[in-house]
Amino acid sequence: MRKIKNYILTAFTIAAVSTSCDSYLDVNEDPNNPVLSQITPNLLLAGAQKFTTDTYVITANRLGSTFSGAWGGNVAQTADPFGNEFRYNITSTFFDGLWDNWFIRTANFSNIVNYSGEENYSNHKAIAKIQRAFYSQLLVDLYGDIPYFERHLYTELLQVPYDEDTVIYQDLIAELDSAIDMIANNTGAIEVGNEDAIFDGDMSLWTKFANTIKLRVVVRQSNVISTADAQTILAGLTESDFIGFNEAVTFNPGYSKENDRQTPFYNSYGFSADGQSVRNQLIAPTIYSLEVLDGTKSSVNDPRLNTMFTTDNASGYTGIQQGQTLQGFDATNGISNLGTGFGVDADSEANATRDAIIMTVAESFFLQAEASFRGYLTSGNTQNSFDNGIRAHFQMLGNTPAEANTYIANINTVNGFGLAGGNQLEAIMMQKWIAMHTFGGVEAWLDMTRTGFPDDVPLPINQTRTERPVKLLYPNSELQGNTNNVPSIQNTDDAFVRTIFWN
Amino acid sequence: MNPNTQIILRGYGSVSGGNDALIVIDDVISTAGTFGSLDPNIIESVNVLKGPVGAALYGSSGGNGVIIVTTKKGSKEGKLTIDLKTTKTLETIAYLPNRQDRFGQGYQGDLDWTDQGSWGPEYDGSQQVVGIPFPTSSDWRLGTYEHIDDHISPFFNTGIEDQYTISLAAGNAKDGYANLSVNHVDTEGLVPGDERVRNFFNFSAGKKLGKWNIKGIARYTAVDSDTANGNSYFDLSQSASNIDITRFSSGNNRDHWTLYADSPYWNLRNRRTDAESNRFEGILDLSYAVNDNINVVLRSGVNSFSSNSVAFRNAYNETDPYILNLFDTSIGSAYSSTGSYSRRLYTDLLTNFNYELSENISFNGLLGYNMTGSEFVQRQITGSDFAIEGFYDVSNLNLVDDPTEDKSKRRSQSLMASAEFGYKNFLTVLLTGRNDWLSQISKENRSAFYPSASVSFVPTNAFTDIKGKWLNSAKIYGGWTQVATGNAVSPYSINQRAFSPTGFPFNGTGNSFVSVSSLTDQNIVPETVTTIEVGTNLDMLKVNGIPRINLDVAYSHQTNEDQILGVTPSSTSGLQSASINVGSTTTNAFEIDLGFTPIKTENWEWNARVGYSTYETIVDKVTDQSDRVSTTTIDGATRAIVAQVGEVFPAIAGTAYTRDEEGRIVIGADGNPIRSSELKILGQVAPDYTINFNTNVKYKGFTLGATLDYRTGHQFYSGIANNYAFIGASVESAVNGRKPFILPNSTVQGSGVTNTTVLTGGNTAASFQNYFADVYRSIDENFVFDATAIKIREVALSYSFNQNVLDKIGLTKLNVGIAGRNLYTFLPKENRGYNDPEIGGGLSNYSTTPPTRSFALSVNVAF
Repeated sequence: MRKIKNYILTAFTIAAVSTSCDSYLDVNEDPNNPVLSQITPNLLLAGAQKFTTDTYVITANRLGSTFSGAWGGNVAQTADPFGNEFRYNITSTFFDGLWDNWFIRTANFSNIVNYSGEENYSNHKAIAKIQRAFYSQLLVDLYGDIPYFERHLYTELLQVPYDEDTVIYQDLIAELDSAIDMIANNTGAIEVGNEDAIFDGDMSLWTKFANTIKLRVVVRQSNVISTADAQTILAGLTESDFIGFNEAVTFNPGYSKENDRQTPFYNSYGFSADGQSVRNQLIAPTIYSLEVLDGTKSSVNDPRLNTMFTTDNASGYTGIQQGQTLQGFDATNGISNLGTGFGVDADSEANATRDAIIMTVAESFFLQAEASFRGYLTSGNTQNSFDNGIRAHFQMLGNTPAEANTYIANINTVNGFGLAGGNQLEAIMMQKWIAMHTFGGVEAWLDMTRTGFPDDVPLPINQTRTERPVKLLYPNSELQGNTNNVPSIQNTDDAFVRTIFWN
Repeated sequence: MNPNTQIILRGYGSVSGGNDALIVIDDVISTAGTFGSLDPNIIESVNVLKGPVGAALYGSSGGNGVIIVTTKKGSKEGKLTIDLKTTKTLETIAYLPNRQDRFGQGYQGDLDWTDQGSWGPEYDGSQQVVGIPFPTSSDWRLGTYEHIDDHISPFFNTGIEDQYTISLAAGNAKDGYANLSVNHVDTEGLVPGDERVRNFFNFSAGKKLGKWNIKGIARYTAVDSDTANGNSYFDLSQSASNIDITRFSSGNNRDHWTLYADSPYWNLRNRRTDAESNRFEGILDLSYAVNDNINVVLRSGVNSFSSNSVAFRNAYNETDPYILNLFDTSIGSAYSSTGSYSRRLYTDLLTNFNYELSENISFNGLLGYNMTGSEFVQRQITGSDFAIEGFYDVSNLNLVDDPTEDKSKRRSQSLMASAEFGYKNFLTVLLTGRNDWLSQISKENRSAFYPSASVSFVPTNAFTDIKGKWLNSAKIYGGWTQVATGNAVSPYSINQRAFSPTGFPFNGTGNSFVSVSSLTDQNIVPETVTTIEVGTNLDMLKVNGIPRINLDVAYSHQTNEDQILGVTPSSTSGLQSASINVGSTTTNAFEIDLGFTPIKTENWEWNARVGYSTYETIVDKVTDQSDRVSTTTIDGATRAIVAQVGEVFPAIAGTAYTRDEEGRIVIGADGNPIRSSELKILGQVAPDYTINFNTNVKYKGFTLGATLDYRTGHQFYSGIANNYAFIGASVESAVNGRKPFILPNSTVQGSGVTNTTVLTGGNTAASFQNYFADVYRSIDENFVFDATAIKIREVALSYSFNQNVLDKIGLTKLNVGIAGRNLYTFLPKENRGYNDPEIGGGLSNYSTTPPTRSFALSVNVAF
């Protein structure tokens, strides 16, 4: 019996000793990735900026440019190009990546804002607030009510309740003001360096960007806001407080001509890094895009035609109507594509490393022009801002200042194109439509929804509907993952019903 | 060609997956793959433990049942025996989906030699241009515009598999034994050019040395394969039925029937993967008999797996672009090299106790400790643009991406104890307890304890007078078992990590990090499954020395608490997927197996077995915030597998028609049906019941056997049917000659009466196509079909030469046999051969080949 006891004891001791070796089980620290809570905001900023920019440049531009009548599809290269967009086949899976990507990736901005370490990162937090507000506004503009106040809590709250669009808009102003305030009182805050791939740490430019977003938030409400309220929000702001010449809000972390490092618009609509995959054949200008530039609509030749689009095989310009099939298309001269101004015409290092554009200078000026026109900006000058907007767009495309000035002079009295032509709002919106072509697509579409201008952009061929869509449907991920909160599945018809508070 | 078997014994208790039975070979946890490689001739016994009773000894992975395999130790009489077997198997396509046979290659009603769809005009037998002009842009090819049946079959070869096995055995367990088995399989797949070679070695030896008993096993598997990438079946299906695909088989990417995709024949040559993998298992088993009652076993093993694969895509340079230089489909080259290595080390230290506590009471006890650690590393290099064609190596790439590396480790420790008491020869009581500690769960929560208690009673031994001709033996058993498992939690996942996204570090910004979008709740605990089961085994009607009827009946009720669910949350939380601890399900399972031997004489024997099994899992709770979670979703699609409170799990959910109270489909004034305003449950994945049947008839040396099963009561979603609707191949799309039609049993919204006037499909070919491609396809209900199937799994005929003949030749065994597998599948009418409902877990799509059947011829010799 003693021997037995000994053996039992030995067996148990071995077991006991081994289990008390907790260190055997302490292998759950990831050797591949650091833990988020240990990463300081300066290391979180560039990544947060990159993902959100990619979605804006690639996806939002595509959505807006097809819906605003700017892009046609090259039917000789692809079967059914932009088929879902032109047929208005809007469902819960249509562009659902926009919602998913922006919500998941703006959580990184929230992580910066919520960083709880001791050091003073208020500059970084202000930048994160501004960018988060920028994308949040777009989400409200595209969907209406969205989860907002309780989003980004990860596993603490997996099914997030919805908040009202009007309340969110008010909070956007509050957030932007809070950020502007943080920047104004930032003594002692850690300086932002080249981790900020937008303004390289220049906080005065961030303040200007914040003001410009505020301007956009106000102008977007033009159908519902009172002039007095608008003036209050924009009180004291002058042209120098907004994004101006050479201050475009662009992102460039150091793009290079390598896989996964090219500028996003070029990567999707230009060429692959090794030049082997040609992607710039898909987009062709709509016939309308050509008509507003080649004098058909305005009787003035707009030199931007040369930089926005490439010539066809006969040295002219051929566009295509949305929804046109190969069967009825006269392809004798070939077709035009996007040109040098958009940086996708040729496989080159310069094109592959262009800045990615989030907000153009032109957009800032046209917002100011409209705000002055409506009396929201008491210190504004509609004509100045209008002309500057055109000049800024010429500059972005690579046209000369002389060309810009000639055009401005010639277009001034043309109805629907120049301020002295009769309908000022229509002129502002028309020039803005041209300036937002491709690189500001989503703004062009939202402005058409809001103002109704330009009002002669044709709908896609074979389109049985008589109106454009005015919003997107809540995505698949909400229907599957937020069942208790998401408004019930909408049908395609709902995309044409104006429910967002400002439209 | 690369089989990935999954053996499920009793249903889908766990929502998070992991319902496979555990395979244990020679007391060591192994895999279904190794089990499949073992020569059946070296298997001594296979014991199936249904239910969770095996979890106590083998850990939580045994909670879904354990298949215990024991291999032979030595040979029957101790002297050297050699067993040789060779099998040749031919594999062919079993069935293809039905296609409409009226309309051919075209778009919106017009002929279109560039298109992949079948939306062209009606077949009329005329000569029409088909495919892209080749070799130059003026070499137009004409074909007869008519339907060809099963036009994609000629692409596929007959698969051939040659298998050779040699097994040597000598000795016996007492005096020492050695077994060696070598198996070689050479496979040529259905996809032309696909090849795979597998070599398998299994060596085991052991000897008893006094009180010590030492056993060792070494196993080595080497697999080499060369396969085409992509999905040939899908590519081929994107063609109209008038296309004779063999005309486009030169392998040049422009020798194709469509402009908008790459040629599958080009893919065969230019998009391939070369892979090799090696698995080594080594086990040492040492036991020491302390005395007659106590025995200590130390068992230690290593299972290491490494694989290397190189995948490449050759460039294609468009030299003769079509349509006025507008269309350039050049493709760049790409390369990817992946190497991975994983290793599992484990040690079991067990002490067995065997006592006679009294004259009638016996006791078997076990105390044990186990530690297991696994680690995994994977490295990958990718790049593009080969400098020299055909040379596949990193050094040849003009553009190399940043390499990636991924490592993971997990470890566990366990203590287990069991006590089995036997009373005389008819009553047994078994009590077990086990505690696991898991590294992937946080310190506070990583310990999990789970006990069990079971009883078995043999009335025919207790009351010997009931034992007789009618009731030969009977056993009644019942038990209560708990299993706690945390296997669904991946290492490191409870920490919210950040990663450096692709592209970083950039030149300007340096490195940066973003949060992961997939997270496990940091406070997650193991899930607990509690099972109560009762059952009986009866052997009845003893005639001519053997029981002619045996009956197994079993019922089990299982609740699964704190299920670890991988869910799709709202992306507004910042997450794309999350793993959380909530949810509970209840499963009821019932099985009855009846075996009978109607005939057993000297020359004839006929056995048959019929089994009926049914199980149903209902979801009781999902999360505190919601009644439904999606457990499998597909990017860009509304259909999903869901767990919904009150419903059977797994359930298929998707969009459906809006119907009025009378069940009529509601349509708009434009004739288009209106989609439902929420995702509806469209079907269940698991069958209501399964009936399986097998039988064999023996006459002298001949044996003829068959196995078939029938399952019904479930549904599946066919991705192929969805694709067919898009490309115009579906039978539904041709029914009315593609003219606008009145949707049967429909009602115009607001009218309240059955629709007899409003037409669906518009009045042009384009609008009809749009109806099918967009509206019809957006309603998932259209593609959910009855998953009922009767499958004749195997019919086999074999002949064993009798002893007299064998003695003359000097052999101990000579068998020849032929067998047909997956011979026939009967599907309900609505499943037009779209998919094999068993594949896909409820959401089926294109596999790399259509479903197949095979025929095997084998010869087995021993001496």
